[in-house]
Amino acid sequence: MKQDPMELVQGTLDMLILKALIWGPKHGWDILCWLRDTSEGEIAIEEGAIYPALYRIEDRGYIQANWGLSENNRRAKYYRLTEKGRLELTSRTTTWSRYVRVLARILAT
Amino acid sequence: MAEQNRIRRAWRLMLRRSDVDRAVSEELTFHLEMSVKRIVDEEGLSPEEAREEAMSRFGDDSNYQKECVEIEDRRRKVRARREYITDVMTDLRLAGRNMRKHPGFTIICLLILSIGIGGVTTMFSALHGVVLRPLPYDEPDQLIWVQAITSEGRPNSISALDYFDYREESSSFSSLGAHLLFRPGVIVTGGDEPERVISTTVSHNLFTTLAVAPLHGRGFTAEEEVLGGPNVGVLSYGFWQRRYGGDPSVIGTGIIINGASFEIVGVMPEDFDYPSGVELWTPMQRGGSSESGRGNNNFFIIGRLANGVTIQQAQSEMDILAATISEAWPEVKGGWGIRLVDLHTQFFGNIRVSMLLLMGAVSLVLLIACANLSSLLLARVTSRRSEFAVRLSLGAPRGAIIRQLLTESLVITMLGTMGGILLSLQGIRILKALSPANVPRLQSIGIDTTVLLFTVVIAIVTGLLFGIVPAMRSSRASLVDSLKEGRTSTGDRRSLRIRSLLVVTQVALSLTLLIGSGLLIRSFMRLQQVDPGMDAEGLLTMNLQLPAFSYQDPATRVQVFDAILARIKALPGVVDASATDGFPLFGGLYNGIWRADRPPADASERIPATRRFVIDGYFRTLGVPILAGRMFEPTDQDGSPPVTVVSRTLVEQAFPEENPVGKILILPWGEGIPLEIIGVVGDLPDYGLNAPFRPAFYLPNRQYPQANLNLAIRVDGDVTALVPAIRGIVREADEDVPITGTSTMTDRLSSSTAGFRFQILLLGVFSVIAFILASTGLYGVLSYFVSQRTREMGIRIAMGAGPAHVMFRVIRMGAIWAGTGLLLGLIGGWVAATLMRGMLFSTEPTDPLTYLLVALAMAVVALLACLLPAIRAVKIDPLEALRAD
Repeated sequence: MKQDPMELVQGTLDMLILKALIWGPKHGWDILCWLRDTSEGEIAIEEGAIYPALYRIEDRGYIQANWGLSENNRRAKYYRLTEKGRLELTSRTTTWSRYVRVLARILAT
Repeated sequence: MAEQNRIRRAWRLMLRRSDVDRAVSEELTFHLEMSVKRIVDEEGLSPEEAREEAMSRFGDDSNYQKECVEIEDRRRKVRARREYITDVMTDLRLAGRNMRKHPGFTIICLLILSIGIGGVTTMFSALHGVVLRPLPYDEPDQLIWVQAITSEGRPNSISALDYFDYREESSSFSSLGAHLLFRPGVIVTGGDEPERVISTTVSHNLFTTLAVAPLHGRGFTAEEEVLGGPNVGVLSYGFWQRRYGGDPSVIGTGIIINGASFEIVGVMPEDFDYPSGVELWTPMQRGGSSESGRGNNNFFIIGRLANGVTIQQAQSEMDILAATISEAWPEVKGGWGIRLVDLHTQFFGNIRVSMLLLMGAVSLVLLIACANLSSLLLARVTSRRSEFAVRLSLGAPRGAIIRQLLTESLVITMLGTMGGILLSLQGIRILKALSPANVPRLQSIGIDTTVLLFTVVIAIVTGLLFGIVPAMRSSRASLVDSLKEGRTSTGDRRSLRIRSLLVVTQVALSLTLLIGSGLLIRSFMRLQQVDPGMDAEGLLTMNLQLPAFSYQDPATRVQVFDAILARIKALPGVVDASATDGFPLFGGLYNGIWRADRPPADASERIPATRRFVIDGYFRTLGVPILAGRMFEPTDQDGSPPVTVVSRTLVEQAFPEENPVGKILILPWGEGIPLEIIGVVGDLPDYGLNAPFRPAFYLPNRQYPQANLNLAIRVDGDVTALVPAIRGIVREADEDVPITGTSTMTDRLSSSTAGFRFQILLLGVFSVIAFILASTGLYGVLSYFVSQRTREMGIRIAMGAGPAHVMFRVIRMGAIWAGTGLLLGLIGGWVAATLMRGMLFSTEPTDPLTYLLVALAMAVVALLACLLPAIRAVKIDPLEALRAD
């Protein structure tokens, strides 16, 4: 049976968005769908919250936005990971993995 | 590639705030629509229900919208700023490269700007410092000159008694101060050397009226203003430094003034100089001789308006008070009134006219400099049209080109401004060094930042107007037209027309200035030819003041001067020597006198005549022509009948067609002294060389022995070589007699015209600057004309046109412009000359010689300016010319 979705830990949404873009440009809706599908619905997030996050990340230069056409021929804003973003993602992933590992080890004792 | 970036940036810059709003909203709407679609498809809800569900999953959309817009706005702002800085740096680099590539253009532009800005800043700074600057007192607008007006409507000084009445009765003034009209020299003794110091007597509250506090010690108190009160004095900063080395402990110590002991109670600040030149102030003595008598008009009054009182309100109150006094003392104050003038106007009103003239000249120079600059920039922009056209066709936005031009003119203006500041620093130094002593406040001027700002703004506006407007026009031009037409496009013709207009203006304006200064120079030459009424060459002059306290007996004064003069006359090289209480040229005291046989009905019928005391031999020593009768003899002394010698103008006024010798004049001293006229002498210019002669009468010093006399010594040979010997003689006669004002009579003559010469110098310098600017302007346009016509000239030469023909074409062009400018300039000069008529001396504003000479000089220079480009035109190689472009 399905568990209740979890709240996101502070600061992890940015990382997840960067991860979502690693296979190519996506618009906001796509990112959200990817997040929901990949987490199998276990992450609770207010959908609108990803937009300020996107703008913030863009401001930092990790992603770049461009208007394009969606699958159904609508104008949509696509976000693309920049080189800087890719590096950031790698470094954050490493940090997080370590964090999770250490935490798991402590909690397992 | 760089251009493409610029386009994108320009596009982004053009996105306004509402666009950000719209873009965010579009993005969020897209999300919601996708969400609704999916809910309908996968969960089978109706569209309305799906919409609600989507909204609730999305959260507070307006809040997210706001947050996104804020982030985006901030990002754009930061970005725009960063890009702007990069762009400016690029433009600056480009401007620098362009300036280096065209050093001639750059240097000329910078010179014009520096001269223009420097000259104007210097002059306006002087003008502002001398005339326009407020008085150096607190709340200067409240300070009022309280001018007494006589029954004849003339301004006059006023009696101390009237002053006390006004001070006690009026309520419009918070303070009403007064000072003595004279600035008598007093003798300070007790140190190593007796010193003659200019002093004056002031009301106890004069310093507080002006709101100037003493630097050390205090001012005067009301108790000290009364006869019999304590003897106190306040020193000027300069006197304090000179005599006491700036020692603050002098406060409370004693000082011997004219033999009497005074206590020093205060020292005034360094910049306090009122009344001008005074070094020692003592309080009025209510009840003393100067302060008694309603008709004893010895004082001037300065008031400070009470808060909120207007000058009109104060005037109405003073009118009432003046009427009361007038009624109470009809015989001396009948019909007298008071007129209030603001202090600034009273002090500087009379030099305002000449300053305004200079201001006009300065403005003309600035105009010429701007016209010149415009002309150059215009030429530059026109010659770069092809460059702009190519860049435009490669996709450069017009804004970028315009901004680059803007940067270039700003860089040139900045450098020019720096040059201008350096120049005006020098200019102000030179101005101070050359100025005559009587220009008030000039020594304390510095560069005026307001003025500098103003001129820089004008220069920038010029740069914008003439550098960018044509650029905008040509940036609109099509590439094909521009390239095809090459260097003879219609746009060039238009700009040539504008430039020629500018040249005409320059020639006209500088001719106007030249005529103005030419007329002043003519006036000055006439002034030099004025007969000074005496033989000024070889005359040494100096002032001796006997300490009045040790020469109470008038006979001792006569004796000591006789002894000194006798010893001086005995010196080898001295031809003659005499003395007077006042030399000509710098004014003097006068009395209203009348013919004994024609007593005047009232005071206005008296003859105002300059009065001088002289020692016998005075006219002979000065070389004043003796026209009739005899001169004073040593026998015209105390106890002998009162006699006088009068001037030719007095005879013309009082005794036309009559022999004046033996006639009697009444001098209204005491009961009235009947003076027998014993002789007539030629006129002396008592009020300056350019003033009309006034009647004068002379009295023998032996009958009215003075303590303060000016010696006139006629010397054969080197005039100044005798000064030490004369000093020795005076020292031996009485070592307490200070000697001041040692100079030659020719120096006195020339210092009487110093102000006039200063004006001529300033105006002359300006005219020359304007003249140079206009000539370079003319030369510049003609050279440009030739270089634009290289191909045409080449063809003409190839077709067999002779050099004379080619030269003629160029010179004709210049001659038309210069001629038009000359004509307009003559008219402008005439207008200016009419305006400055009052400053001219026996020279008509239409003086033909001046106009002719100035126009001729201008024409010659114009011809030279045409000749150089014309010669270049002749040297054009037809083959080269045709291959060009």
